[in-house]
Order: sequence, then C-alpha cells, then structure tokens
Amino acid sequence: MKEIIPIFLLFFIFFNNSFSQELYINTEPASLIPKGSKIVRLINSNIFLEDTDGLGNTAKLLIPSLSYGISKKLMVSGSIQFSNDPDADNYPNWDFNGFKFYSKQRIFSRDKQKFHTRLSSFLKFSYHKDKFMKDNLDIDFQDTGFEFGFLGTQLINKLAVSITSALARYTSENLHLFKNCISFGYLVLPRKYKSYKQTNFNIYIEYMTNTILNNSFPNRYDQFSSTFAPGIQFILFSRSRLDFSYKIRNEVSPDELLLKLTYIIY
Amino acid sequence: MKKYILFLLFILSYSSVLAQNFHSKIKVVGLTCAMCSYATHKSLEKLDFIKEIIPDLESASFILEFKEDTFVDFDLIREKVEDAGFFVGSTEIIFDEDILTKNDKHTLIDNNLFHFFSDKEIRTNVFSLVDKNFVSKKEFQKISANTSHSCYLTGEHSDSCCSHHDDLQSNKLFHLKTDL
Repeated sequence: MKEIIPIFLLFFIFFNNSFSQELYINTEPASLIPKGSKIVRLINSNIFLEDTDGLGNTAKLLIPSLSYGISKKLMVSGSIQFSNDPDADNYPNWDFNGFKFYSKQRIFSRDKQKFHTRLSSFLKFSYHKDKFMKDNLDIDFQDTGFEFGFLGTQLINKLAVSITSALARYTSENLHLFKNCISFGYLVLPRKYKSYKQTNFNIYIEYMTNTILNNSFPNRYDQFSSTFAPGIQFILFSRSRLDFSYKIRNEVSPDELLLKLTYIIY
Repeated sequence: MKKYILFLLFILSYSSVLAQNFHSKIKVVGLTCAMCSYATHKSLEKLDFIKEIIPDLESASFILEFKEDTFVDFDLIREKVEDAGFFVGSTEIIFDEDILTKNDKHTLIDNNLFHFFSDKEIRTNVFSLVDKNFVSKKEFQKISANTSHSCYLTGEHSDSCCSHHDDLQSNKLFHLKTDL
C-alpha cells in the first residue's frame, strides 16, 4: 500500500496540465455508450496461480461480450466466459464457465467545455461454475452474485477521476460485500488532436477494494482486500481499443494479466 | 479541351447549387477523446439533411453543411449529439451572404424560417441559435421578456404570430441572434 501513494501523487501532478481519459480497463466510467451503437469485446484474463507443489499454473479465461446503447440513458451488456481447468492433465482444455449481465443507467450529466460531471447507477448479475482464486472474491470473473452501485466521473481542466461504490451479494457463499474503486486515466499521445486516424495512447491506474460485511465468513478470505491495477491502452482509428492491465493483489493472492480487444459499431 | 473546361465549369456550378445558402458550426461540450468525437460524428451522419460534416477535433466542434431544398431541423442535430452522450455548447449559423437584420422579424431562407433578434439594424452573416434548448434558462427568459412573438416559446410558426407562408416543409422555426 505504501508504494501506491507516491504513484497517486505523481498522477495528480501529471493531471494538472494534461489530457485525461476515462475509458477504464477494469472498471466502467459514468458515461454511457452512444445510443444505437454496439460494442464487441474480447477479454482474455490470465490468472497466475501457484499450486501446492509450488509449480505455477495459469487459469486462462476468454470472455466475448456485446454491449448496446438502448438510449442515451440506458446501456446493456452481456458476456459469456470460457475457461481452462488449470489443474487438469490435458491442459489447456477450454470449457464454458459462466455468463455476466450488466446494465448502466445515467442519473445525471452536466457538460461544459473541458468539464463534465456524470453520475450513473449500475446493476450486475453473474454466474460462474469454476472458481480459480480460492481466497479471492471476484463477481466479474469467477463468483456468482448480484451487484448494485453508483459511479461518478468528474473532469475539471483535463483532470478526470472516477469513483465507484457498490453493494454486492455473492449468492454462492451468501456473503455481502461493500466494493469501492478509484480510477485515474491519462492521455499520453497525441498531444494535439488532428484526425480520427491518430492512435491514442493512454495509461491508467485503478485501485479496487472489497470489504466483507458479514460478521462471520470463511477464514480463507480477508475482511478487507484490494487490487491495484496499472494499465495501458491504445485507441486505433477512433473505433478500436487494445487494453493491457496487470492486477496486483495482496501477497498470497495471484497476479493477473488482462488483455482487452474492443471494436465499436456506430 | 474546351469541352473539358465546360464540363468542369458545369460540375463546379452544380456542386455549389447542391448546398444550402448557410452552414452551421456546432460546439460540442463534454468530449474528452477522439473516440467521443467520432461517436458524435457518426450519430450526426444519420441525419439525411446533412451533406457534409467537417470536424475540428482540437476544439470539439463540427462544421455542418446541408443538402439543398431541405428543412434543417436543429432540434434533431441537438438530439443526435445527446444520443452520443454529449451536449451542444453553442450553435452558429453562417450565411453565405450578409443579412440585414430587423429585430423580431423572420425570413424564409432555403425552406427554413429564421426569426431574428437584434438590438439594432445590422448587416452580418454570423448568428447564434438562441432557441429554448440551445441557451441557458436565464438567457431564454431574458429573450422571452423582450419579444411579443409566441413562436419563441413554442418554437413553431403560426399565422397568429407571424405572417402567412405557403408550402412550408415544417412549421418549426429557429431564432437567431447576432452578438454584434
């Protein structure tokens, strides 16, 4: 945790005179996708597990997803997950492992030149068969449950910060969680926008926390856990995205490399 | 050779006729990236009365040229920008030639009825759109107080408010103001 604070500070200094971005990799911005547009996405997650004999195995997930902007105030998104069984002998062996449904509703939006305040709410439901990180809770990739929350994005003078707060119920283990996240994005290139064909290069820092609200819970979990996720992003031809993010958890939990390919059909 | 020159002249004159005698410059607010500008661009492309969209990504503004003989519905332009997730900050209408503005009077230009507000009689070609959803509430109330025409409140032309016109493509009319 101590090493995270100087990085945050560095980010704030950067932000004072630079562009910022809000197309976060691990979390969502409060902005919605344009009405009538479809987003096709392919997510590849690699969870670097360490098994009992000390040999590392990697759980690989492949998640195709489709999002649709129903109106300027409502978007929906659905995805299915395929994964391998990292412990099986005939590794890698892909199999269907679950699905996720997500919807986001715009509550409030106020835009000015180089300034916007946006507030949205979201609903999430997911079902997953296999759980790869036994001592971690993650509704997006491996657990089953519901989540409801609010997210706000503020941009002032090219400084953008997003905060997400949510309550989640993990039905598979009957746990209640309070989830929080703070995300920062910074546009490195281009310095000046000239055409839609310019490649954008963004860097991101996201910090996500989970707090278990139950009085009693399985002792393999920590009551409070956090994930720190730096990431980079390329936006190509203003309609495709290529994202990389590396999720760092606490010492005993595995790290994760996330790759995301996005294509927007306007 | 002569034939080619004549042909070229024909093409040039024909293409200049195809457009309206005015174009518009809209400034979109809330945009933070090229992807957002592109989404707005694509949303605006869906309007069939728009002939060409020229973006200025750095200032997040778009120059819109319109097809001839069409009614230009600025409300739809605003809707399309909002569908993409953003807002119209300001809308300028630029006429090819200067117009002598008379306060609280309207003119039919290329199938579009425009109602002008001007502190004094002035000759210019650049105006701002000041209809209800294009200016702040305060500005709207200020202009409302200074006009006796109900069309500013309703956004629609009626014979009781303004003089009669035959063959209007739309009853909608838009209100323009010059900053000069």
